[in-house]
Amino acid sequence: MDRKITFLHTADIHLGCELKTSGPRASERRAEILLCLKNIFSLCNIHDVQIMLISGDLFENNSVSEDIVDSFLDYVKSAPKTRVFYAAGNHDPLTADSPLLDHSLPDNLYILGTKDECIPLDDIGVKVFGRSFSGASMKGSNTFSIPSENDGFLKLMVIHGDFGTDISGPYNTITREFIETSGMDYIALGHVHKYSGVNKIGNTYFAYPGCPEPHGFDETGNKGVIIGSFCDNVLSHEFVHTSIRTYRDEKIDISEAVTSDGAAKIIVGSLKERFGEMFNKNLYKLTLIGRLPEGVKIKISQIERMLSEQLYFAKIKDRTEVEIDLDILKNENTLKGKFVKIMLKKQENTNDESERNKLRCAMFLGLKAFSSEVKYNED
Amino acid sequence: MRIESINIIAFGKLKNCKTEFSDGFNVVLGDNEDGKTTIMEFIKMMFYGSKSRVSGISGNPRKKYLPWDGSPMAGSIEFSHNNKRYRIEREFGASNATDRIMLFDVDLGTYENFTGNREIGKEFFGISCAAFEKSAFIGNDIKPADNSEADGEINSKLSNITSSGDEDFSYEKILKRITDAKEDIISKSGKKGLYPTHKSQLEELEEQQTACVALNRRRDEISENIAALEGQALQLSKQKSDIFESIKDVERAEQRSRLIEFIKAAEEYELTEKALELNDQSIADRDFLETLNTKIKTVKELDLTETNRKADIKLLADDIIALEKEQSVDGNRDYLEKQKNDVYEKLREKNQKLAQIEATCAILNSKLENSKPRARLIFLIMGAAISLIAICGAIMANKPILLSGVVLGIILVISAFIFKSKPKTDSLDEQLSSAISQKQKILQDIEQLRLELLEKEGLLNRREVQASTAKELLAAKNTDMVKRRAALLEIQNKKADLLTDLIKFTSKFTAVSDISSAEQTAAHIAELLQKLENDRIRAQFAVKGTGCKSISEAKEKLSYIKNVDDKPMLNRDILNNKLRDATDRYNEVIKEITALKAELSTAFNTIRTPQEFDRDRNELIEKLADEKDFYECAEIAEKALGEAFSDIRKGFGSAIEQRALELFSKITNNRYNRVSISKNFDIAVSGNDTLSSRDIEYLSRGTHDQAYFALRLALSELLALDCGGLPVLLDDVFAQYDDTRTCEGIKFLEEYSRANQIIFFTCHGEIARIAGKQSVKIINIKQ
Repeated sequence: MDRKITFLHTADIHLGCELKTSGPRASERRAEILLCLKNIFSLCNIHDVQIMLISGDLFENNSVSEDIVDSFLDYVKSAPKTRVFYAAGNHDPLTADSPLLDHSLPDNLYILGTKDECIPLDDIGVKVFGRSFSGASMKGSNTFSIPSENDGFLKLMVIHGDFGTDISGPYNTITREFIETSGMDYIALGHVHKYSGVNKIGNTYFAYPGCPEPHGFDETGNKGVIIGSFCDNVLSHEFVHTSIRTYRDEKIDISEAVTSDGAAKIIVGSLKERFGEMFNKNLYKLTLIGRLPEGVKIKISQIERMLSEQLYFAKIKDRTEVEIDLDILKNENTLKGKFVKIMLKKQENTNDESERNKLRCAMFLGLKAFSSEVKYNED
Repeated sequence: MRIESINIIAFGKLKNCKTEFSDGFNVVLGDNEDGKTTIMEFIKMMFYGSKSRVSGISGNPRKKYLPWDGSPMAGSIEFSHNNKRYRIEREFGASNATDRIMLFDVDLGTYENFTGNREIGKEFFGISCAAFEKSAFIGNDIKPADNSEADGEINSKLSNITSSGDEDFSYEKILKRITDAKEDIISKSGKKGLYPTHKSQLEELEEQQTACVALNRRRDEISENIAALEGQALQLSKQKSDIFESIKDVERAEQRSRLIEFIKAAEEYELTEKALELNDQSIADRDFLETLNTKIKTVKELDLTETNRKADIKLLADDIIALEKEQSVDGNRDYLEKQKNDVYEKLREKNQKLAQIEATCAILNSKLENSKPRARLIFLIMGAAISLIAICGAIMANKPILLSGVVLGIILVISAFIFKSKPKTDSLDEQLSSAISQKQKILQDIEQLRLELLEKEGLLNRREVQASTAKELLAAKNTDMVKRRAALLEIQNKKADLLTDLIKFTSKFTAVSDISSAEQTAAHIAELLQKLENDRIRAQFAVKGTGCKSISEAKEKLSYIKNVDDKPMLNRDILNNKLRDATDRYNEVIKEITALKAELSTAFNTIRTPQEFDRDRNELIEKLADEKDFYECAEIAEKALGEAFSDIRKGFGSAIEQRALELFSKITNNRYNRVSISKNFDIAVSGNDTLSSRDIEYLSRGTHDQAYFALRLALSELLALDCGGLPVLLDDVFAQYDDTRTCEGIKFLEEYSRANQIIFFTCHGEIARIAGKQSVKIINIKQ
């Protein structure tokens, strides 16, 4: 194998997913996921990718609309020099209602069957192995049924599954043994939405690229695809960011704020500092922390309104505390002082950290009630 | 705590302003804008700074009291606390955190650097800035603007103070805020609020997810069924193709066979046609054959005629010879005559014998008649008659069979004799029978001879007729013979001509010499023509369905058709049946697949994967957890607040009430001797002149202020109990009092200042004058 083979590995795109958690932005986000896929195919042309491996869950389900399927097929056609291999996942199993089965497929698109399969590419000395999900769930196995031969071919596998030990799991459990005995040079996995890094067991590299475009706040951080090259049996690879937007779960200290407007400015400034000029493209779940002086009243609804003009999407959780010297306050012979004293005593009397945190929250919630209405402001 | 002195380096309009205070009653006198409130604010800010960050000047003392010359706010204050003297030096920054504060222990000469947000006042006195402001720091801003508002505000603040120790905080209000927050999450009924809503959403989602799992399972089952059926369909399709191919093979074989047959038949046709070719290149066709056969037939007919004629002539010649011979032989007639006479003679002899017998019989009969009944006679007569008739008939009709009647007659006669009446007749009967028997024999002989005679006579007659006829015939025949021989010659000549013509005609096809070979040729031509017709029909039959018109075309087509002769062939009907079966099964499978696919496309077109619910579910679970946490926190806070309130109520509330009463009585010069603060913090007072309590709302504004003032002082005392009392800073609190009340108030303060430092700020000289009569330090800041 003295030729250089360049491949692109992606998975878990979930075209057509509802994205309810993105609220009013859901529709735009769905379009952006499609755009992200288009960009990935552009990457194939830019990087002269010969083989693209899509490890399942391309579609959110088998009921996706025709235009989504047509768009995907158009993208495949837009990269004619790239041979695209697709192994269906648990979201879009290769069943009779699979969205791709009723369409005329481009010549450069190969869909792996539900049985173990090997597709040889004699002209470039590559064999692509794998299998598709046959239903919403599928049991795994410790070995791949098609043995690998020492024939000088580069062996790649594309498969959707859950890396683990329990092969009775519902999502095609991929065990260490499976990887070790596969004889593959690289196994392109899908199912886990977070980039795993490229790992190696025995002589086989394997990786989860994660989803190229995130779908919610459980998928924070940068997302992308793996572009790898095999040259003389040596793998070189890079993780290329593809996500149009990222989801961020951030804590912002607004202790210095005295008004809602000020708090919004602090938030924007802080996000800008963290994520640069493009900070406003992200989707944020913001937890406001810090200690606000008594009398400083900050309204989350006002902050949200102000942020909506500058940020693409933000949901805010208020976890600020009242700025107060508890040691002094506890000695006050007032209701507040007594309250603080009782709450501090309760905190002292517990060894449970979470219980202590809860008591502390309860204390600040009570203290907040001394100066203003207490609202549960999770939006 | 006592304030010893202040040194305002720069604060608002005041600059380098030093003032010392006595431990007791201090009256700071100044006109409006002379800086009284500024000094009060300076004292408060020296201890507590200011956390206000509002942008407006009025709400932010750091802006409001910014020195007019632009220098930083700064100053110092000396105070004694727990028998120790301290000095605070403070340079104000933008916030408490940026203020530079130094705390000097004047007695020891040590100092401490206060940084950040630490509040000296709080650390020394144990009360917050707010508590300080609302108790010991009694400004005129808290006075009501009008009576109605004043009453409400005082009540409100009084309630707050008595319930929470802070006039700004109402226990009930705080409790309500927490309860409201709780009920935002879960209502009292437990049915409303965010938590039940989200829980219900979660349950609904989980139900949907469960249903979705079942739907997905069903979809997978259908998909598996479809896959299995598609496998079957594929197999059946292949089976159909195989059968179809077999049928095609059969068709190909049939086509080949037809073409081969056609070619063979056509080639044979051509050969036969060649064999039928005549010398003039034309073909010996049916007409030719017919002509030939006609010619042969004609010749043969003539030949037959000739033969017949020849035979006739021969017969005629024989007849002539026979006739000639017959005419020449007459001896026969004599012989026949002699024979006739012999017979005649014999007949005559027999008749004689018969007569004798008959006579014998008559005698016997007569004898017997006498001995036999009449019947025997009848039998006898009948027998005789019958015999006679028979004999006559036989002779007349020349039919021997009639002689059987004689037998019957004899039988009757015999019967007549057999018929016995008496044993005596037996002998006669025997004799008669014998006679009859003899008679019978004679009769037979007679009959035979008579017949013979008749025959001889017939023969003789016929012989004579014949002889005559033969003679005539012979003549005729001889004439006929001549004629016939002439006709025969004519026929023979004609036959020779026709035979020559036949041979010539036949030689067009092949040379012949006689009619026999011509016949063979005709038969051969007929055979060839039949074969030609057969070949034509064969070729026509074979060519059907091949679309060929010529051998070359057929040969070309044949070369295209794969030879499948070596393959085992099934019967076409069997194959068709198999194909029909396979097609039916295939169609059934396809129908089933179509139905399942239709179910897939309709029943599952909006199906979500169970995992799709996870994100929504997790978000709801997260929300529920947060809401639960919040609710529990609110519950904890609510409970702790209740505990704190009990504590306050237990100690602080009653102490306030008691102390407020004491102070109120003193301020009002004992006009009121009872103050009660209800559970709801309503204040009622009663005077010496009445036993009944009156709600504070019914009293004058001055009394309200006095009550409020007393309460503030009581609060100040109680709040600062731990630090040995606070200096009371009063900002023209008697402005609304009449002279009597003012005097009483000043008197009260003078007395009160014995235990607590009083710094009374006023712009009213009269108050200073009244106070000046007492042991009061007057500090005039009028400029």
